[in-house]
Amino acid sequence: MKKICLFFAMALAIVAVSCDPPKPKTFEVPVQLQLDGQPFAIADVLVTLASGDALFEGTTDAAGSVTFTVPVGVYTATTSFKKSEAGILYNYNGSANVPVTEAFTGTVNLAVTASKTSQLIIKEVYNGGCKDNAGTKNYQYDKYVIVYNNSDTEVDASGMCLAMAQITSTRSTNKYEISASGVIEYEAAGWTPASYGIWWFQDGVEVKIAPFSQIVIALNGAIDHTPTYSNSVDLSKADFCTYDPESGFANASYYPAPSSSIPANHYMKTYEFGQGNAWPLPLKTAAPYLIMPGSDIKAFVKDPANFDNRSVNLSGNYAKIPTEWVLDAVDIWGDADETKNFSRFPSTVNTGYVVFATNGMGYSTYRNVDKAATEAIPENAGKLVTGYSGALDPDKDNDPSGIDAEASIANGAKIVYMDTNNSTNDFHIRKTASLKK
Amino acid sequence: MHIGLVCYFCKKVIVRLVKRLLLIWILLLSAAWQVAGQRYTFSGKVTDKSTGQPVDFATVVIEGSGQWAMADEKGSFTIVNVPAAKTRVTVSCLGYVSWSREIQIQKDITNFSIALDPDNLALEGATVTAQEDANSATTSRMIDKTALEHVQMMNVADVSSLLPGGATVDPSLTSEKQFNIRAGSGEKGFSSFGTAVEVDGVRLSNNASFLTASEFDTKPMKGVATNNIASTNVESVEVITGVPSVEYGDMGSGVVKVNLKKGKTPWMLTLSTSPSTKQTSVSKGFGLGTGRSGRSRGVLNSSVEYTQSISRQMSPYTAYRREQLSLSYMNSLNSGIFATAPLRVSLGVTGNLGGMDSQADPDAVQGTWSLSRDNAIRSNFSLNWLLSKPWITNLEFNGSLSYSNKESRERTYNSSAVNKTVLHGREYGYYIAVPYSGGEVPPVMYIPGGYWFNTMCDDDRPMTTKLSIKANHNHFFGKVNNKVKLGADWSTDRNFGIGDWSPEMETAPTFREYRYCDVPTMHNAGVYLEDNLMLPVGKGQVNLIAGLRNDNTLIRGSAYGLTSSLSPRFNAKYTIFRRQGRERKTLRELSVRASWGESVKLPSFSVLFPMPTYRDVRVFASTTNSSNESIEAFFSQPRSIEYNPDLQWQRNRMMEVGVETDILGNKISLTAFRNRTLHAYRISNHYDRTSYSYTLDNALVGVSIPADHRAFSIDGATGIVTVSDKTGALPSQELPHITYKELAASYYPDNDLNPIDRFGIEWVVDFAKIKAIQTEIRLDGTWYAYKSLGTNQVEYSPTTLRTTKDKLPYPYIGLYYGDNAYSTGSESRTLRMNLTFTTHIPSVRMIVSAKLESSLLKYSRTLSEMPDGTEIAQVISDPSDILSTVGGSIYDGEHYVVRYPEYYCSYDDPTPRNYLADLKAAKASGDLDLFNDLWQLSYKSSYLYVFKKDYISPFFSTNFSVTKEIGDLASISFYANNFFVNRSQIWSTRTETYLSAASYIPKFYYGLTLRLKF
Repeated sequence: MKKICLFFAMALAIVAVSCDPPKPKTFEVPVQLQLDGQPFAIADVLVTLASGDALFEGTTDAAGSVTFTVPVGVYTATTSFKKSEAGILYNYNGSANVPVTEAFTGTVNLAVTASKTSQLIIKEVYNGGCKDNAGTKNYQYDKYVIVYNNSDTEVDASGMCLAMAQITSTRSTNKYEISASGVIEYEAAGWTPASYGIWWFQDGVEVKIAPFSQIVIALNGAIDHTPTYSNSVDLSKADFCTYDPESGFANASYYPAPSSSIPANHYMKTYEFGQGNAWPLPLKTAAPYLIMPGSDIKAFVKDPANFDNRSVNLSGNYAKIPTEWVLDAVDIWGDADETKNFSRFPSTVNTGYVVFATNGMGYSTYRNVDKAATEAIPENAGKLVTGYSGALDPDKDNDPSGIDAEASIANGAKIVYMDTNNSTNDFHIRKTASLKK
Repeated sequence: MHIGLVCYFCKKVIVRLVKRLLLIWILLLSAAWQVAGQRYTFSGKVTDKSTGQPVDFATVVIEGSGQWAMADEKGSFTIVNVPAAKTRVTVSCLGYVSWSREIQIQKDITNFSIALDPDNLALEGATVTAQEDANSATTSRMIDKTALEHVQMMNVADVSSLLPGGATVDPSLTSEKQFNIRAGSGEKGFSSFGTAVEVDGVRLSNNASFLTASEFDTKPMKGVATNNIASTNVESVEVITGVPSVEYGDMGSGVVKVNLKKGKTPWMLTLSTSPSTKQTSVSKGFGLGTGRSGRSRGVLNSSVEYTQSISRQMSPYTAYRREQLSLSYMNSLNSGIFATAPLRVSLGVTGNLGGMDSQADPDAVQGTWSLSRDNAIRSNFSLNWLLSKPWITNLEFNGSLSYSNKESRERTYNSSAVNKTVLHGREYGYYIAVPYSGGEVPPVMYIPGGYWFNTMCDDDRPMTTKLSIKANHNHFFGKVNNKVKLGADWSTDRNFGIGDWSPEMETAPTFREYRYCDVPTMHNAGVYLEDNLMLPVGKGQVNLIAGLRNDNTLIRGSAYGLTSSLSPRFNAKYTIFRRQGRERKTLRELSVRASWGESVKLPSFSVLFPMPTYRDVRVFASTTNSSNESIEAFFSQPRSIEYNPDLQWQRNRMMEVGVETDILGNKISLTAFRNRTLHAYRISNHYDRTSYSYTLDNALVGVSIPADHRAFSIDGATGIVTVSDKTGALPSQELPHITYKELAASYYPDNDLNPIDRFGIEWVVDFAKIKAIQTEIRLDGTWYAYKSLGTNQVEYSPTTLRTTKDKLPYPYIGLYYGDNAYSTGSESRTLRMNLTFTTHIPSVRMIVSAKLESSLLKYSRTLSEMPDGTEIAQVISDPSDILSTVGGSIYDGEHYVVRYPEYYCSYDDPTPRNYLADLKAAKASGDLDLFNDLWQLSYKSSYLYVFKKDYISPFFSTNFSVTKEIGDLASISFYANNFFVNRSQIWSTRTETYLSAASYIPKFYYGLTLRLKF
């Protein structure tokens, strides 16, 4: 009986030991994000600490620090996150080896590096107008630009401005020297010309664009054009942005009073430094671009030092926009003759061009879809519409992705557009403006 | 000696000299009046040399006495009371070569036979170039029928190419062409406006034309377009480029006299074709036979022409048409009371229908077209009564009327997505746009959005009338021939048009009624006296002409009232050697001449009564509602043209010297001229200070009335906008407003302070005929220079701009010397040379000509300087900095340049301030807002070569023409301009680029004309 009792006691002991093995010794490992050698105070950043199959995750506190409790081992600390600063989306990446020994003490500094990407891109430029109902005359007072948040992160576009480079792409009217390799004079000087005026949002108006969302900027005619011009577009939507009728540009054809449905705080302001009475985005050779100023744009455009005076008086000059302010640009030419045309943007902003040969047909310049990135978004499963045939010339100039972006968006998909800073790769000519559907 | 004292004595001597000369002149005149010598009869017969048949309606003129007679149906003529003299007798008749000979009349001459050669190419001496009038004391050239037919003139202005150094232009009628004597295109001083054009004595005038004040600089006044003169009915064109007789008033420089066909002719049919122009005409001069009493009933000329010209062969439907009927009657009454004092009667009437019309053009947007009428009626009468009294030779009474209908109509296709506001009101105040519902047109109205057609018309119907009386007294005082001309004329200019109007006011664009017919008539009464003295000196002859003209311009109902002006003119010619008797000598002919004179160009209505301008400010605009309607309100200020009590009539001071000689049969004519335009017309402006109420767009932000229920009204006096609820549910609301202070330009007619100078040298060398090849060579050319510098003080404010800081109306006015631009003038020089080879083979009745036209010098330069040469614009080193001025002349090398106003003032402080000092101070103090605002008053060149000399490299063009007569029945002419199709490039030293020569020489062009007589 005693043996039986002893046996049970031992069995119980074994069971007891088996159910609650002895805990190994652990250590607290604080990880501090570092940027440029300084602590990077950023909250809610996911940091992982991995060793073999062991994976520890934590999120940073407001000081950019996260503490792991891990046993002895050799770990790798990594982090990868995006952060928008002043409208620019930065990718932050960091990785560090973390050996945890019996003697571990102290804090692990996880250094991250930032790489700039543009959340805000020009998705579409509709500048060529359309035919009137009789099909005899062109109608051109219905231009718009669509600015798109090409990321999964909301962007604050309050400080974003819209500008355009020289209105012509032909070398014969170009006032700047172009090197044999095609580099334009002002590239080395670090600026990009802005002509006629720069549009910005009103002070105090918060302009946030949700991930994979857009804002439409009615450049002129912020009204519903379709009752008169059935080939045109409706630019009277309440969520559109448009010109301030008091902007100073007073051409009545370009700037009728905006629709009552567009709130006054959606009006964009400008400082008119052009000679004309309109901001004349060309019908073919448009070169619009987005900027996020590094300083107060209103003061910038008033300072004569920021102008290049190649014209008769102040009114005809180009504002010298620091190239690092440029978020995105598209260079549209009227034809593909590279001996006749020139690239209006520094190569760090944009290379290549898209050809918009015929205006007055309702065509628009539309951005291609980044197929891989778009398909990589899990939520897009089953929502992407393929077999896109909306390009003006599907055989020669189709969107290579084959994804019908607008149809997919209507399906609830999130579209990532191509952004290689090369207009040739990034854009195609669309037969019908997206707002026309 | 003190310079002032020298001047004083010089002045005294000159005054004394002039007084003595006048005394001698008066003595000579009175002596001439007192001596009345023996009088004789000169009679004879005019016949056709080839047939021996009498030539009726030939005019026989005794040049010295000014007496004339018209041959009757038997070719007989009689002139009585002819003073004894050796004088030139000229006989002319349509279809014949003029006959001229010096005859000694010292007894009755009867049965004097004159045989006229029919004017055809079988004769030696046919010319196809402009011929200098050897008897004129000033430069005058005649282009006769042979030359006109040879070049196949479509527009009489095209004959300018036959003048020395003249350049051929495209012979199209689709663009208006004017005569522009001794001047270039694009110059100041309205030279073509100052060129007098008369068709059979009918003065064509643009005095009653209108421009707006703003158009005055962009569309400067031009002379009358000559497109509506039927070219097939022109017998000859006389171009007086020198100092004309005081008989001609209301002119700047140059007179062009177009003479239509008058006299008996067979039926003549003309068919002409060229790639863009087709022409058909039929004409005949009918002899009306004799009455029961045996008196001639005169001759009636009739001509019908149809011409159509297109500008683009690809779209031949837009065309200029000229449909013209011309009738003229001529007779001489020489029986009864006119037996010894015959009366020559001429009557003429011409009617033209035509103009540019695109109605048939299928290439235009359907339903749109434009029409510019060029209808005209011209009529004239002329009575020339040969009294042959000792105290008066003849009395002329002339009258003319020229009425044009230049109405233009344009039908346009319009569309707008929103309602479109248009303005028609002419009263000061605030107005809100309302829809047009018929009846009285609201001051500001809107056209609903959508599509519409509209026809806009400009009813422009100017009329010029003229009555003149002239008494001639021609007398021989021994060998001295004195001709006195005393005359008076009265002309009127008015316009019967109603200006802009639309038959569809519901869709008419913005325009303001300005009835041309309400503008008072401009009357001008001129009196003149001219003495023409010809006295033999040695073997030669001196011809002195002195004249004085007084013009009195009266505009009733206008502040200008009566304006008086004087135009003295002098011509002197010394014929040292006359051809007669020197045919075998080396120097066969030599004469020198000099002329000086002034002429006054009356102002056009564009100067006196420019169309008023309006300062319209949109002071409110509602947002666009769901019906795509936005209601706008405007503040309108009429800016009527102000009266300028200091306005002077534009004058032209002409001077020329010339020499004509014949050396071994080579005729050389050389003329140097200088024309100075004084008090050139201009429209100046100054700025008034105004203020108005303005309702900002955000005034509607707090309005609770739904956008679609809003109705707007504005107080016409205060500009306060009230929004009310159409449904009545919500109370009305006055919108807040702010007051804007703004500068508004006012315009007034004015004169340029600084004269405009033109000078040049013209030459014609007619080399002796090379008989072996029956060829004549002419070398003609002109060297011409022009300079104009503005010295007026000019005010300018870029009122459409807003201030940098607050976006308020721009408050500064720049005060500029010369012009509100970096340039204040320009200069140019040209050297053109033409070489014409004319081969005339009478035996086969053919003329072939080749003309090489060349531009050997074409220079121009923009100027920015004062008359003393002080430069106004300044060189800057940095194109981005208008204050980076550096030394050096703007004319040396290539620079960016800047032009500052000398002074500026502001809305609040009209005291002129030093512009540059304040600009620099603003920059130094960091006041960028002020700096930017003031900067707007400066002008900076956008390229480096602004003031660089521009020499255009020489360019050439060759024209060929051939005319062949086939018996007396037909003739055929062919021409090819720019025969070698010169498409070369020419070099500009200013831009250092090659330019297409097509901009300077006519395109390759050809034409063919067939003329039939039966």
